[in-house]
Amino acid sequence: MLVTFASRSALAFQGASEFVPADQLKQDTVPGGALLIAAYAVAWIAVVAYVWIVWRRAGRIERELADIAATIATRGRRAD
Amino acid sequence: MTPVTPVTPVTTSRADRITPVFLVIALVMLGGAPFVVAQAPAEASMGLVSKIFYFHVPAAILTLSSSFVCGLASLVFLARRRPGADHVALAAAELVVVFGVIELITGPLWARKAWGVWWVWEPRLVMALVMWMIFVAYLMLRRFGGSGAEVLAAAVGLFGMAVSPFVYWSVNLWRTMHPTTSVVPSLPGSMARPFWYCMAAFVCLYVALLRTRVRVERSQAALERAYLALED
Repeated sequence: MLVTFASRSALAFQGASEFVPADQLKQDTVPGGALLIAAYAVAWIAVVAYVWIVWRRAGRIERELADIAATIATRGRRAD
Repeated sequence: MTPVTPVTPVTTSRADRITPVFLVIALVMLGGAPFVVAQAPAEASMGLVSKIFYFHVPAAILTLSSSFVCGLASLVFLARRRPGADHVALAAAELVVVFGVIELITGPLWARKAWGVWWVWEPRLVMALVMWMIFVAYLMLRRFGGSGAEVLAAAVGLFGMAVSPFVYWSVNLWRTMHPTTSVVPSLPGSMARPFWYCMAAFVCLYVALLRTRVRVERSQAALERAYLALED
């Protein structure tokens, strides 16, 4: 992906070797609104994904702590 | 028979009440952000796509800020070997990566329209990418480095913090396509208000996530102590 970006950016900034008449140029069809929505979606997805990962990890740790506490309590009763 | 040490859970403290407050404020503000941003004017030369600014710049600022939090916490950990500092450093490093992802994806989306290309190998963009990769390396060290990796990772965190001023000042020091640091201080009121609104929302989110992640890491440490107590 980075190689593609690099090659495209390199082409964009090389000195021109020929002039192209305007009617042969490709029109930029990337709408600004779509890019804006995509950017906001990326921000929300990144935050939600991170929160979900942390929440799952916290839940696993709490379960393991509860299991260990029960195990230690059981061993304590047996010792008594 | 060896006396059994009871497991002490992470008790409820004042911090438990602060984190939800920050989280609720952040979620409410971020929920209203699209409406606030919609009211802001588009930039004259870039049009509608310039509104990516209201998420991209706060994310970038928090990426740099979190690198400082990680670096300073790493410094404390290296000097004093305090576990709490290590927990903060790890949490801050994760947030550098998370907010860095937002910055490094929203930036090219904006650049595609503003500059005509997705990416330019110029100082600000390259240094931001390199700094992000340094903190990815920090997380990989913590994940796969085994016992004692915290110390080496702390050194990596310090290095990442040292890089961040160059990321910020790169647009002023070198010839670059990226807007300079004078843009935010010179924003007109119609753009400044939605920007600072989004900045406040992101800061509240950052504080909530950092505190939550530190608590999870503290619980993880308690779990490891409990396993050791079980073995004893």
